[in-house]
Amino acid sequence: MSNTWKHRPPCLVYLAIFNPSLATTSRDRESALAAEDQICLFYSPTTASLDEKARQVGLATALINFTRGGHKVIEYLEDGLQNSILRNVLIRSWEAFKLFHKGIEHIRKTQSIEAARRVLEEFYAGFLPRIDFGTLDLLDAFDGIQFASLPKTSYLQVSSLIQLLKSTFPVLQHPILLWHDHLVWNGLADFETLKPLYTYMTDPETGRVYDGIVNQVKHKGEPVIATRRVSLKTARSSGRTLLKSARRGGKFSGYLVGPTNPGTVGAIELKNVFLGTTDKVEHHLIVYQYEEECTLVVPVPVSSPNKADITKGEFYARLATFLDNHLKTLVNVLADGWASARNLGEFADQHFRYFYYNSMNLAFKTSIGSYKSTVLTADLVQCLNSMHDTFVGETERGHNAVNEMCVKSAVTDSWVVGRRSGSRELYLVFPKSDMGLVDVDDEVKKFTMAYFSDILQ
Amino acid sequence: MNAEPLEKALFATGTGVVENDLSSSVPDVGVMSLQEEANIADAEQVLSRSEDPSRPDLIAETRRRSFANHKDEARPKKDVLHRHTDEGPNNSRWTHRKKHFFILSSAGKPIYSRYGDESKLSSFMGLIQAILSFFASDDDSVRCLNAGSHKFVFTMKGPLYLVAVSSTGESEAQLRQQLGYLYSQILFILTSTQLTRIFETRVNYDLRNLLAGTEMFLDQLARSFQQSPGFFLGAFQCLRMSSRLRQKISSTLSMANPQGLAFGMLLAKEHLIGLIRPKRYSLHPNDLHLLSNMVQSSSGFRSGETWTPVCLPQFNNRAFLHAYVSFVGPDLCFVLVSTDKDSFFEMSQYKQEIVRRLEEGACVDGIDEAIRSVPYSIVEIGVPQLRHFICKSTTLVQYTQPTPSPPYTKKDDWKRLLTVYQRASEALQARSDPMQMFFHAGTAEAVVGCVVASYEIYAAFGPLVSKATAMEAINALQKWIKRHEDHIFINSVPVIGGKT
Repeated sequence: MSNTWKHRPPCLVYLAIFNPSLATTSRDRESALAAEDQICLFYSPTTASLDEKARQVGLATALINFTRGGHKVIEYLEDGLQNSILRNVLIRSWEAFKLFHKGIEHIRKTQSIEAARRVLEEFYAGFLPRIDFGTLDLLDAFDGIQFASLPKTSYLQVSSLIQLLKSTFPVLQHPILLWHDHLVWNGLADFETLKPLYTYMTDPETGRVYDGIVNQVKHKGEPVIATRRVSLKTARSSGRTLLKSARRGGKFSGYLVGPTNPGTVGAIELKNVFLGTTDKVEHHLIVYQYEEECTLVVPVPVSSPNKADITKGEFYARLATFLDNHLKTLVNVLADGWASARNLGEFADQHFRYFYYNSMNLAFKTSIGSYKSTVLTADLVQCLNSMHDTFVGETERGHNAVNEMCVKSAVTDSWVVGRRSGSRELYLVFPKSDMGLVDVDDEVKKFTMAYFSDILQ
Repeated sequence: MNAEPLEKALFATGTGVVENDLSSSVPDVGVMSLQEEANIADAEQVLSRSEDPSRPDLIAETRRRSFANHKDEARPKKDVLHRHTDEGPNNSRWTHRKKHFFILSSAGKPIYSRYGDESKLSSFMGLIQAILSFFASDDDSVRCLNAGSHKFVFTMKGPLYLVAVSSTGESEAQLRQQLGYLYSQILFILTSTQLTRIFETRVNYDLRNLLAGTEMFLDQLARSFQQSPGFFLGAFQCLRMSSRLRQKISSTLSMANPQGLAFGMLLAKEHLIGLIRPKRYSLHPNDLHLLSNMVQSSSGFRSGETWTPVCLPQFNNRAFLHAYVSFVGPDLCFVLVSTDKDSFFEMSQYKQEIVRRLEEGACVDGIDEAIRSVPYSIVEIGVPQLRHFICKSTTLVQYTQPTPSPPYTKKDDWKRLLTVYQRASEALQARSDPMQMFFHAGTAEAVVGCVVASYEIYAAFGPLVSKATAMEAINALQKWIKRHEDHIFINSVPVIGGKT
């Protein structure tokens, strides 16, 4: 059995969302199947028969009851997949769902359970095909935010623009500025609140098909922001394309979320999302993109006092003019800042295969896969995954957290080093090396001293 | 065959055992078959149809009685295991246990539970069976479930289901290996032939009938997983002694081997002193673990000579061998495994002969001395940074370790260290991408695992040790091992019939 498994990459067999408390109490046998169907809010594949659904949901209920002697009730089966990563994918899908729909309970209260079922089905039908269960890696595990690196002067320019924006348009109190997929400014309360929104905006799948939020104003099938990497293997955002795209003509400027024609007179239809870490609060969303490079994302709380502004077409025309004028210069500043940071780090990026993540601000940075010289083989990616799983597992159990792990493969002679310090994790890979443990440690020291001296000891 | 062995046994026992002890603890084969015929009903009916001339049904049944006797007799002594029969799924102590093991038949009949009374767990076992057969009906099998910090590991072996539920942080592979040991322990008592036949004949058979009295073996085994590294290393620990003494013992063991002797060994607690084997076979460490586990499980073995059928699954999982067990000192034990079920007398005589020769050769004092100085202290190695280490010889499948010194004298700290060792050993022995070097720094300690020539070395340091210091220490340790190689390992195992 293990042989056939090995050659078939993992794939999703089924996903079910259910709530046992929805079952009616009728105990007669004919309604048993129907009852299982009642609990089940969503089932993928949707082609599964009622019988099959009932079986799997029944099993999952049984497993949850069975393992309730433990503590948590998140369940999933594992084979060759790392738990922590798989769980993160599930949590991410749920965060995304809540971004658009607040929660099942909310739909149930405001509409009906039938509506909830329909919404879930629509959502997951779009979401699930995006995930390639065969190639999950650290990017899926962390789901972090790419920060723009800026020199202090550029940062001050950004800051002053944001202040100007806030005072000119008092309704826009929480602006988020992105340069490609890099975060330049976060006006939300914290990064956790930002995360689902950021993930949605920078997802290369967003904008490809109609999803009810984003305007279909770009070329058919083109993502809203194309530069985010989805896997350690592919280098979608290799530096050159970023720079090149900056010089290409005929780029899109306009509202991604908001009126497609800002001159429109009359009421504007507003798109809503739900933001917040504990309590999801409804926000109207406005997204403006300048020349495909800068994207301003502004959530406006529904309860905002100046809300009336954003229902008028005239407001959007004013905002567009304001942004066009100011972003023109800022775009170059951002591109320069990025290019100089890139040149500074180029040597490191080409010579070290590293992955850095900080769970405090969700920042991540990696050179893996960005250059030909830093591509990793699948087994090394797997090794990183399992190392991350160990870090997570040990921390969850609480006693003896792991600070550092170094392993050398006997087959490929590669070193994999993982370090964890507080909220930060750093992974380094040295393929095919004849170094000993001490030499590797020296290399890691050199690396951290040179490129992370300000944040890691 | 009825009364004879008993007489022989009585006659042959001369090693200072009081006769009272004998009547209860020695040789059961004959005695029991006379008394118990009426009671054997279940097992007998199932098994008597067999054409097997050695009639394993009787053997198993009599041994069952014999262990039951040992158990009763040993109850007041301190090494007897307390079975937690009052616990159950509705009891918070039961649910808070860190590691559970369950064994059930494929029909869902409970066979063994580490904690609690199996018979009170029958609905729980039924649930496990239901879950497993649910997957089986899809031509699938469930291997592992993760529920928060708990891992549920399932395995199907022959007609049995084995399940581990653990929050210890051990990996799925490690728990699966432990389930494998538990299964071997059942084969050790029943043989695979008998196990399959029982369930072929009667799917619903309650295997506890045949295993009653041997739960302590499984209990002891389950506890050992978290006390001794020998199980996850797949290796055995030897008693450290001078090579001259070891040579002497080896040559003594290979003298005058009786007919039928398959394996002979001299054990000191869980350490191996000497071993003798047939020319073409070696004793698998797993089998050795099972024999040693049996001897340690019951203090009944301490009082006199015991003759009992055993199956060594790695050697031959289909047939019974016969083990002669006799303690000749408080911690010194002979285990002789014979292929001939009537060779109790010969084995006993052989043992006496060896004891006599060891005494003549002044080896006994040496052995006592060696037992007293074991386990040795980490100070001897002369590497102050080193907190603890394990060195396993992959060719000899033996390992050595110093006695745990602080902080590992505390049970929890020792368990934690073992878990890290376990992870290191898993990385080094991985079948698909094995590691050559493993470094792990946690808040409590740093552990290095590495493969050097034919050794696997695992070493523990303080959590802030520098890698340079750790590697220096490992080099120094390697030198020490090289120097003491023939003291800590048995380099050559004498072969039966090698000398006369």
